[in-house]
Amino acid sequence: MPSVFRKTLRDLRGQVFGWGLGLAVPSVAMILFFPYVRDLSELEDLLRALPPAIQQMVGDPAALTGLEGFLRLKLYSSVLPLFLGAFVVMAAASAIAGERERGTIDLLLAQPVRRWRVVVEKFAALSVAVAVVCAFVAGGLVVGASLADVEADRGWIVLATFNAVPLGMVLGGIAFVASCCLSRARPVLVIGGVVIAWSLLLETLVPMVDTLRPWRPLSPLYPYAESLPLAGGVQPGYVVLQLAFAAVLVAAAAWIFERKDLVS
Amino acid sequence: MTSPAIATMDLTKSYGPRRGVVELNLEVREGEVFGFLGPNGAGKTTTIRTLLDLVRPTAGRAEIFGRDCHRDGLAIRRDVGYLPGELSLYDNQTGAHFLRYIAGLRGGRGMPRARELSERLGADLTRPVRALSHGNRQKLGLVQAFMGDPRLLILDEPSTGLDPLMQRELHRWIAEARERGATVFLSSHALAEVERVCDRVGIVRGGRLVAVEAVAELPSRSVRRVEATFRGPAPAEALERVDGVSGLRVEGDVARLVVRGSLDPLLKLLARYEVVDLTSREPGLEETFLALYGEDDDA
Repeated sequence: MPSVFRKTLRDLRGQVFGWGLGLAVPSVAMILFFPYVRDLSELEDLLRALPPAIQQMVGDPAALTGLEGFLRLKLYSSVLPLFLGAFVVMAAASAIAGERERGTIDLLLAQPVRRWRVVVEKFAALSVAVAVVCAFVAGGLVVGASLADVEADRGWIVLATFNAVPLGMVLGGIAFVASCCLSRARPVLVIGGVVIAWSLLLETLVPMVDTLRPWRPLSPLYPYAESLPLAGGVQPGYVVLQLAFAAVLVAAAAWIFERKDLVS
Repeated sequence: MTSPAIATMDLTKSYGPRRGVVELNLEVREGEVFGFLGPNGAGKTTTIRTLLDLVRPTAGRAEIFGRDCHRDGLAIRRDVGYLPGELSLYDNQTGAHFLRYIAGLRGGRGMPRARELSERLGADLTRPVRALSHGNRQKLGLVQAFMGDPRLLILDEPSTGLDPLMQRELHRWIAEARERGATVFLSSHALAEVERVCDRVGIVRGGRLVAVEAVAELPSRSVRRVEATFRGPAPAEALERVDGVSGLRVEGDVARLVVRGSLDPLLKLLARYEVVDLTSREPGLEETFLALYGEDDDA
């Protein structure tokens, strides 16, 4: 196994465990909470009584009383992208800009290893870490469904959760580009945070504000939301689009880093 | 004819308006130990970073073993062991993990040698780097630089943080490297160290190479510090007029001065006075360096 990939994965172990557990526990709680929502007969009527703009933001009231709709609304649309995004941005910031800031990049790049390879191996390790965090979440949901005795399509849960891996790779790719451009981790965190906040805000407001609709394709959450399977499985076109975008981003990051003057 | 171990041709590196090195022409022969001296900010680190392709020249070229440092950087780095001046290691790794990581990056070779070198230095490989003293981190840095028995060692301030015994051990390593034909490029402020281990020195100042000298020849071109005690007031005006005399300080009957070149004109003047005591010190490399090239830090 390539050294930089292995070391990066090793360094991420603690974070993967922390973020994975940190997301899995609320996922279990969410599933345990679901039967109360489902059995609340007045909920659908209550939601239908809301103003249309708010209804659009909340989503289809009928969907909320099904597990898939509930998870889509409560977990996959906001909580998972937000926390997974925070994880990948922090890891990407530390991967290159953080190494420059700490001064460890000098010794690494003084070895017979190409710069682009360092970027690609670190990105590959981060992608694996994202998949492991998603596995924690999927595991939490499956366990939660068993504990709550909720009828759940476990295959759908796993698929819907792993659907966030390409999103993580896209957000990681954006943060890697920033990380390769900058010599400090903090500005990378700010850029990544702004991208995530902007994307979440856009996805929330677009159903209510028509003028924002043309901007939606600029959001990394757009293809993610479109690829999210509710019924009829994954939309592979959007998954491929995200993977291709992530590949372009990491190639751009590697290209930038190859040309960068690493001033001490 | 073999290529020099290191060659820079009109190497210039600017950082915006600030100049790191200016038209640097340097040649380090294969198999020699070359000391690279200069005050802080003189351009030593910029030169080293250019050789390792961490920064790219604004103009000119740098070569190692006849290969371009940028274009052939990967092949060059297989032949180079490097110790940075400001060594930063991964805090969460133990020394053993760190050395295995470096060995992995160098194709999986070098761990038996790393263990042997670690034992010689008494480096602690079991504790995390964050728990190690500066000296112990430096030992790890030295081990990783030497562990591949590279053709070229680039050592930036290698004895920083090492106790005298460990410094002596380091000097043995440098001597052993030279014996097996390796080239050592050593940047240092510890001028006594340079004097002890180097064959030649290059002196850089304000980004420019101001001199390259064989260490053995330096004192002959150099200066002497002379202290003369007179019976009666020291003849300041007469002393000032002597060829080669500078830095004259007179305190009553004692005159302290620096003589560059031959002592003869000074001795002829002193013969005209009653001198009760006279001392002349052989200059160290540090004094030579400071006298010849000034001690201002114009970083």
